Amino acid sequence: MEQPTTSNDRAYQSEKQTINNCEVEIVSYQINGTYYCHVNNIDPGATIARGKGADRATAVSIALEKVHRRV
Amino acid sequence: MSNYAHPETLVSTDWVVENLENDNVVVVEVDVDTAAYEEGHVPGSIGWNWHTQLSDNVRRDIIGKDDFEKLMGASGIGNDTTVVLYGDNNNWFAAWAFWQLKMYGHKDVRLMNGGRKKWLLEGKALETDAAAPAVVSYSAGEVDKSLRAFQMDVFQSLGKDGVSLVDVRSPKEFSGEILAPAGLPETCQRGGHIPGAQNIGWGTAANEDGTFKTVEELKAIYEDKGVTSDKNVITYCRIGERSSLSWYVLKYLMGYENVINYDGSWTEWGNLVGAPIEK
Repeated sequence: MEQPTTSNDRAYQSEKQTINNCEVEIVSYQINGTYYCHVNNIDPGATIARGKGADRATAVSIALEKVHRRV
Repeated sequence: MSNYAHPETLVSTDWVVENLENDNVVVVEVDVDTAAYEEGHVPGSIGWNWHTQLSDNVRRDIIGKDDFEKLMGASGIGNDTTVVLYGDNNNWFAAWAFWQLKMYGHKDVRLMNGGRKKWLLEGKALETDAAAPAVVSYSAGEVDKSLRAFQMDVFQSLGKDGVSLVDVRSPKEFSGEILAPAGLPETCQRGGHIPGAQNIGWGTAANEDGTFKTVEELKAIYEDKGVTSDKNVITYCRIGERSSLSWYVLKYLMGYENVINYDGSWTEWGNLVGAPIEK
């Protein structure tokens, strides 16, 4: 199997957290200078909230703020 | 690709890269998250919105033949075009589109193994401009209903030997603990599952990078639950899209002959008056 590219400028990152008793996956990556974050429920994996920003932290915080309101 | 029953229906991300300039190949992204395409997509790919372009939201149905022909033609897809579908979430809705294309008789339709996740993981090229293909003529066949289960098919299968119902939802949906996963709108009146169904989560078919597991791994998962190739298999989930991925896995990767997708799924069965359920 091919190994994923890990270029720092737009590395795809994923981590799991539990928010308000809901298990979620926080995915973030960069495309053309903009960082995107999707927060998905673990199963089935549908996007609950999304955010974007000039850096990863901004994109993630915007998405997480929405998640706290929605789950 | 492994020893899948129908390897011609699956392509790698590298194959897609090699065929980006191939005039007979049209790549289409179909996502759960309908805004993902706009972030960036495979160069030249078309974006389809499953909710507005692949659903008849008045009838609660797949799109009609006329609309399907218009969608295909407007996407630059002719009857002999190779269509490569990919999307987020392990090709969840890409498989749903695959199911519809097969119902309308499109000959050459394939999934990109690993979908959008693998493309991003590999750092492959993306573009943000929406593709503007030249419109072509497309003629669809009559719907192949043998690929689709309706509620009467499910009723008639209850308690019958030789039929396997596969509920691909999460364990908490299967047990009735929850009516729908967090953050998703479609729900129902009752929780639980169709009597006799086996719970085999749709996501069990995929590796961490979104690619499909090997045939041997898939067989171990399904056969352990008694879902064997000699059975008539009906897959279902909540609205029929997760189960279309399991339908694809069973039919095209594992080679099961008789597999149909019940797209009414739990949002239909869980609301039906008098329909038996188990918890």
